[in-house]
Amino acid sequence: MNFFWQEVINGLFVGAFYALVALGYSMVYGIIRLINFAHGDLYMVGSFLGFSTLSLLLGRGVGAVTGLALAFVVAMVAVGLLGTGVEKIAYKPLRQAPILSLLISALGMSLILENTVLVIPAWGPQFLVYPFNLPTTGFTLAGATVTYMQVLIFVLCLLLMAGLQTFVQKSIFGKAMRAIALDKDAAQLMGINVNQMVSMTFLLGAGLAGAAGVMAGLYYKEINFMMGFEMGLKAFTAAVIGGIGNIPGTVLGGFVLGVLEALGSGYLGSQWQNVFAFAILIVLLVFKPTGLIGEKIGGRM
Amino acid sequence: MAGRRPTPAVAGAALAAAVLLPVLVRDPYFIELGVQIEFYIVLAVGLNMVAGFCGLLDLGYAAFFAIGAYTTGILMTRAHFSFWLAVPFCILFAAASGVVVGGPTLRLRSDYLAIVTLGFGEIVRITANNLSITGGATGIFGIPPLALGPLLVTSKTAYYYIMLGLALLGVAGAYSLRHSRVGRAWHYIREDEDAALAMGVNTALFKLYAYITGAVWASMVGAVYAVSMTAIAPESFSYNQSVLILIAVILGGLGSIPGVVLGAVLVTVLPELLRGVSTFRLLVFGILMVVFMILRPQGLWPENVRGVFRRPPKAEPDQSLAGGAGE
Amino acid sequence: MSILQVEELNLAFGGVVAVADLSFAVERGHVTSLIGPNGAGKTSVFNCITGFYRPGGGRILFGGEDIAGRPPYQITARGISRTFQNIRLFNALTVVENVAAGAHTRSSCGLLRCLFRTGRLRCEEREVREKSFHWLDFVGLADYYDYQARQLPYGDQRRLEIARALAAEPQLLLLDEPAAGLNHNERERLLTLIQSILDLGVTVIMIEHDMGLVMRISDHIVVLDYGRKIAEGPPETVRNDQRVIDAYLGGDLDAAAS
Repeated sequence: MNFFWQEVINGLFVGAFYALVALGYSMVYGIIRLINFAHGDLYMVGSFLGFSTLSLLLGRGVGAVTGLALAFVVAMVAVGLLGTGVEKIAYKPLRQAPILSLLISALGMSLILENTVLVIPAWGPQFLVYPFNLPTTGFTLAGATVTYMQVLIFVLCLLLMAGLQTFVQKSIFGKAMRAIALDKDAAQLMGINVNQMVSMTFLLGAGLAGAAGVMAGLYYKEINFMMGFEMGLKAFTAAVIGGIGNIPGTVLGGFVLGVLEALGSGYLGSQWQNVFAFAILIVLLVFKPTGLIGEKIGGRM
Repeated sequence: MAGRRPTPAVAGAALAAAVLLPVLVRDPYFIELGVQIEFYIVLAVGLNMVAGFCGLLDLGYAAFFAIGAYTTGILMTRAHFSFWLAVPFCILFAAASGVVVGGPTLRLRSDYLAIVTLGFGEIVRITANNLSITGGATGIFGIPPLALGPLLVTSKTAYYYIMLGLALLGVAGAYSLRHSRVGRAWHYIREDEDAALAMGVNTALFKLYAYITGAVWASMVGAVYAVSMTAIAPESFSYNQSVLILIAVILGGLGSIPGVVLGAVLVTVLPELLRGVSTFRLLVFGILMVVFMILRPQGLWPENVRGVFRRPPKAEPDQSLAGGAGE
Repeated sequence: MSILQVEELNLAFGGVVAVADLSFAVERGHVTSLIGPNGAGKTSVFNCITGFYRPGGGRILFGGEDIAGRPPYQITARGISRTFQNIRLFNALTVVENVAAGAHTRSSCGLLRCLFRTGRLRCEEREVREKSFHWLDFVGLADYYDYQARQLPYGDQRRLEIARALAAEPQLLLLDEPAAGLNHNERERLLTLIQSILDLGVTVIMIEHDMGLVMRISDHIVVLDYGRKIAEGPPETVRNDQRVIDAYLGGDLDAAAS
């Protein structure tokens, strides 16, 4: 039982990461019906930017909390802007093109992001270690160990997600984004600037991914230029589980994936973790492509 | 924009150059490079049938390459099969894996299909990395060379010619399929799947045919790769590998057989030319992918859609048809 | 004997009823037209007949067999072929390769025969070529055989779609708004073409909004409104039916003929 709950707790924690990154996929899909292949790599860039910011600041004697706050701000803003840049360069020119072209362009963008990080001397191909040590004190809950940092990060994730949901539901921008998701042409006819709203969607989604990247760096300590690849696939799976295009569903999907994956890897062995996650994705797309809560996807185009 | 087909002169010159290369250039480096090009030609031609002809963007294509290589490696080292006995098993497992990958994706939209196939590619790689029968992370080594009767084929030059033969067969097979009912059905599915259904194409079956054919092509490369390298490891069958094959297809021209052959050559040769800056290889390719999609989506040597049928000579007015009035 | 019998056909999407208790019969060798205001369910009926929608209830009897719910490619094999309301050609492919699509269902070489280029395949390829050019000649497009479908002018694209459908050698041809967007001359040619098709022994069902065309060529008209049949009969009967006139928003049917 200890083992079970430990896996569940770990799973919920990792699930929060998945949910945060998955939201970017979900929102972009909702607004332009495209899976942003490069999204996972945005998460990766976020973690590297956080790394560099922290290395720079902590080396100058800046306080831990200030340093962390700045790292988050830098990562979220820079990655957010990078996200809008990716959209403008690789997707906007292809709005009228067949899906296959967009997909290939997205793939190319993913390669560009991964390999740019690879060739930057300060970053490069090696695993870098985050220059920050999180305290490991914690408590026990139902026989499982939980660290205060885990709780903090978890709460931070929830806050960011709640912030996004509020923004989308309450603000005028959010309303515009939802209108475009429902009917792009009608939204345009109503005077909504679709280009601007699409940029904003990318900004928000990428910003969240950037934040997740910093948190991952802090928690897992090691970062590498290919970490976005794996996260991208997992986050996509999470979005599909909950129903892509659907914010609360995506969040739920993140947690469900996290827990299932943790249990699976706990009982089957951690080397099979990814196989388990992908198998879930495949089974889901075959039998229930609309996800647990669900948006209609998978139709032929 | 429709492309041109290779003129007999161009095809002949390319073939002559390929055949004479090891004779004229003794440097083993170039022969090795030639073998690499030949591997990529067959892989690109195979993926072209799946993605170019049928429009199914498979991002995990290297998995089929892996299945061919590992089947050969395992059967030859563990079960002491000869290469020729292992080949039918390669084909069998490849076809089966084509169905396994294709089956779940039949009703999926392009982007979902891409990610699912990528997932399959990862599953195959991770499985190869973790099972003892596949040798885990170290892979399989000590694969015996191919035997032609009593002769053991060990020289790179010999493998060069064997792969050249396979490349020719691969290209010929692709042309044959293109100019047949199956190839046309694939194009109909690519252009408009519902219209294809309405015209009587069993789209599910033909999509499976595409996956199966692509898988078999890749597995054949895997088989020869295994015996020519004598050792295989999971890194050769990673996502990066799938991406490189895809890049060859896209830069060359989706759907274009001469195009993807050209693409295969470029993908192998360009990184060698830019030896000093090899870490920039994928970055350059990534940029090219985006640029090509925006500026030249049909690739360097676009697909030739014309000339599928030559017009039959004018016949005598047909008596057997009633009222066949055109104008 | 009717070639097609639709019995109590029902189709709904979520809560919206597209077709309700529809029954009608199509006589062999006739032109039967399905008319009605936009949204009346006409294309939905076509989609049910050709297997793109699975009806919620009812039967569709073709040659005595219930084909409701069968996949489209099987229905085409059984002898029903169609064109689409918004032309769905294989745009990047050539005109002749488009027509060859129709021939797909009447040929049979599978993966291995095509790969190894057997004698049977070569024979089949010759046949497909001949048939494709035959149907191109039939609709008058043979000179454009090597153009890409998207390069053809609109009216020719409609004719190409018909040639493609005919290449499937149907007993029953479904034409979905074949006259949409055609000018006067093209419409006359369409009439001649439909007559030629009838002369081949093919039965035609047509969805059309052009009342002039409908009245001139139809043997039998079925009128739909909100998914229900509101009138049925030969042209003279239907044109004077008050319910039909009302359904078209009180308009005069003669005025609707352009």
